[in-house]
Amino acid sequence: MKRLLYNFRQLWLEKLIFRLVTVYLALLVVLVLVLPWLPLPFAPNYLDLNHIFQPPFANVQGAGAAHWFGTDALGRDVLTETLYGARTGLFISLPVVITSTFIGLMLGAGAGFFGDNQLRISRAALLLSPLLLFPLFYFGLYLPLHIQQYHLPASYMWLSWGTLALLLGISWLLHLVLQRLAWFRYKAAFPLDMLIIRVIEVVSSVPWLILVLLLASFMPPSVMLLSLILIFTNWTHTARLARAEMLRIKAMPYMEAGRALGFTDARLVLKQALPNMMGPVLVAFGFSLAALLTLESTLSFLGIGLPPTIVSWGRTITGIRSNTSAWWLVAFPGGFLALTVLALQTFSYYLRLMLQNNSKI
Amino acid sequence: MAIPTPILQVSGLETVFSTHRSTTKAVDKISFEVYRGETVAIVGESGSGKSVTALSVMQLINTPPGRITAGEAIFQSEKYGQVDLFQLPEKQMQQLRGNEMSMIFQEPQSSLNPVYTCGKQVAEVLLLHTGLSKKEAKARTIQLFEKARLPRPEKIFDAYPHEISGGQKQRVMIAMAMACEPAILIADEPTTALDVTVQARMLQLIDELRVKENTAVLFITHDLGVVAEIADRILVMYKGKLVEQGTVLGIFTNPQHPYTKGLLACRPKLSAKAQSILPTVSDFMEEDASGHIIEKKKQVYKPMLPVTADEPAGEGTGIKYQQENKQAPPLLEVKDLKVYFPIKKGLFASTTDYVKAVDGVSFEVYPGETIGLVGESGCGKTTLGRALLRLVEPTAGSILFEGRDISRISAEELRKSCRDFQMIFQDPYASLNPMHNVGDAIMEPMRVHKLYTNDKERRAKTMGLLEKVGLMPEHFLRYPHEFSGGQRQRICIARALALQPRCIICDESVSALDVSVQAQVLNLLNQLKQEFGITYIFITHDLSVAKYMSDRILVMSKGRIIETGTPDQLYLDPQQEYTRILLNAIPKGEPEDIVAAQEKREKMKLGEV
Repeated sequence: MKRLLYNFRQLWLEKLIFRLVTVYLALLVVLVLVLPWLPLPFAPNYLDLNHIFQPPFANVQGAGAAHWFGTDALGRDVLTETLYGARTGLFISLPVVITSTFIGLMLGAGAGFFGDNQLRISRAALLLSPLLLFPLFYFGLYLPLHIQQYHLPASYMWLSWGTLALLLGISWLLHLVLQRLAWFRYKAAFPLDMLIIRVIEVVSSVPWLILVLLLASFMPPSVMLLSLILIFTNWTHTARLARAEMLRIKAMPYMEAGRALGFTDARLVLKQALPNMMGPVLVAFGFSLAALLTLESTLSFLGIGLPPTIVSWGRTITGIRSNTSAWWLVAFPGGFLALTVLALQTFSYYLRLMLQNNSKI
Repeated sequence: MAIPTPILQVSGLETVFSTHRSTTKAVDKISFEVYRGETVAIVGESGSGKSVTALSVMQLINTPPGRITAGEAIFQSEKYGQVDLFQLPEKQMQQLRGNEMSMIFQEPQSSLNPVYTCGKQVAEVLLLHTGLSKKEAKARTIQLFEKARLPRPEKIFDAYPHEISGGQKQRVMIAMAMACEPAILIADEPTTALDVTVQARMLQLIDELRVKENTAVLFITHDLGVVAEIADRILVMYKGKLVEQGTVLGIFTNPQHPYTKGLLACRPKLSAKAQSILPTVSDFMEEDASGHIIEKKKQVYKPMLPVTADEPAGEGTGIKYQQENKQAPPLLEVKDLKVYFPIKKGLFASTTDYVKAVDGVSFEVYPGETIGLVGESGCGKTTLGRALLRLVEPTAGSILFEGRDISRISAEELRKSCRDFQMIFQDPYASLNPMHNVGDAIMEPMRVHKLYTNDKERRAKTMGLLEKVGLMPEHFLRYPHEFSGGQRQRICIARALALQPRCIICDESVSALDVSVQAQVLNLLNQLKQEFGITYIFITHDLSVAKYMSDRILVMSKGRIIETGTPDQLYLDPQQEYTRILLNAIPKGEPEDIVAAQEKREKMKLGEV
């Protein structure tokens, strides 16, 4: 950690571009966080129908608040739209990337570490755990969400979770009973690696755009739904990377030394291997954040996936289709999008350099 | 007699490596010359700049970060006459490399291109530098292979590098280097990665070739023993400086510089007394703050020399202690242990055959003794060590540790039994997790096995261990990359000791270390043995180390133990042919051997001319 900070400082002192990029990203994050409290002349989605398609810097001298970046077809202020667009972009892509990286890291690291015959599960557990998946999803997630959606009394929620707890208890007892039988007690090797790799292959074979279009056709677009789809398609990259890293680290003598010292599997994965694989995963995090920002803009440009009421860079850019001479509708949000993506990629590049220096022996 | 001009004369060579953080002088103003037909050895430990010297001469330094800042290297070229290699344009340098000067590298495994056949790679050199046709090049290559004593040269010509052994690969490299009959051959640790028996044959080959072809050889090595028999002159390098040069006999019989003295003394010789304290380089010299070397007074190190064998060391008690223990039940009893790895072939990956890495091995280890397990690479000694800890699953047989069969207990029990049974690995660089600091690395095993009640006690214990292995308390918070190889191995030892094990398996634990550091680590291991009564299983390919360390030696070959005995029994009266070959292959480095080798060379020369 100390060395990482040292490397950061070195890069900061030596590379002007790194300094620029870091400052830009830091400013962006601060801006996005404090945006609702900023004294902007126009609220997002405020329709100033008196000034539609106003070019930028037009009525700077005039009465009333100025549209610095111009307006779109409905008189929405492009400056406000651009700033809030950054907020939307980050608010959607950041949780998605964090969640999918976490899922990918866990599954990939597990697949790499246990391989096809390291993980041994008793047949009883193997039989019961898939059976539990359905009630876990239904009572634990699906029902509570619906109860919340229809504003039903909280007691219903507790009822749902209570049922779940009861089912869990029953299956635990069943597990204990089954354990008494030798056949069920036998611990068979669980082909975790094969399973996860196959799932990755299946998931990545489905084109996500088609998935989004399909879902959009019979479900109202919502941020939640879009995020879930993106998480569902995005974790595979991290999982592949984490698996490959884990395979590399597993062959390192310090992992064997850990085994010889009697470390548990969990400790080997979490304390020995994970810190060593964080470098590449962090770099991938940066790149996939950049990719998701572009994706979000693309989707809202196409008008699918996101509800049209949500401010977004892509939505502003769409305005160019009804008035091809309104260049500012593309220039400002597009420029910011390009800058942000560039900044993220450059930052990831330097992060990679930093971590490379860090791991040098 | 006219004074011969040296084929290569290097004067005032200075090579620096600069990174954005610092500038390191890897080679600091060194001068030497090499004459036609002689072998000059550059000897030094890792980081002494010996390889950089060779690479500088060949103009193969990566720039940046490296740069030759001063000096000249006058080379008598056939093609260009007398040239300064450092001034020569790259185009002409390419003509010289491989043609008039050639090089053999350390790793035969990675210095041949795996996608071309061996023959093609050698023929390519010939096609590039001579006007031979393809057919002639092939014929010449096969001739070269014969000269390099490769069996079935035609077969090897069409073989890919992975199809032949390490020693054969190095022979191909030598054939390639000798292809254009270079005036000078630079050999950078050509035998370090090879087994002793292969090493002996390789040295013989290089020696023979240089006598027959009258080639000058610049031989770079860290091991003084290796060069004793083949070099004419030795240059000793230390931290980029040339500290001593002289004839082989001069250096071995009458070393002047304290560093050379230390280097000669710290290698456990076959004649050394077992488990006495080895002298280390720091017994002979110390460095003041500005890097000046000061020789220590003689009386400081004299009593520690192992050659003074007649003085009563604390050994008598040690032997008695072992004898007492012989009556005790064995700590570890291995019965008919087998480890087979299946070879899977064909479409359905059916098991066609097994690699019998360990094939029915039985032996006992008594408490407090050191067992040496020796053998060449691939004999299964490492697999045996790992099978004892069940890092690989044994196929059959039993491992009784204090009467309990660890080959059959469950994974959880095995994990707990690790407390008594520890391992120190070969590579001190890779066996420590780079993301954990030293304190964590040592405390972690205590936490896992719930030794001591809280972290405060563990911390205190760790401090004690650090001190015990010769590290400072302030090293607690440092990360492994901040330490040298020897220090890292000390950390590994401290980590193994953290669980207060009864038995420690040392898997080639000192092979990756420099000789002087090796001596320190061996001393430490012996001192710990006396202090805690730890039992060691010492796996090594280095027979002199094994002899020095062990109470009993097991010789392994092809997965079986073929001979056991006390070191003296084995070395004085080996029963098996294999043991005898192993013993003969050890470079001795005694003055008599050097003289014998020189006489032999003279004879060979006369026979040729």
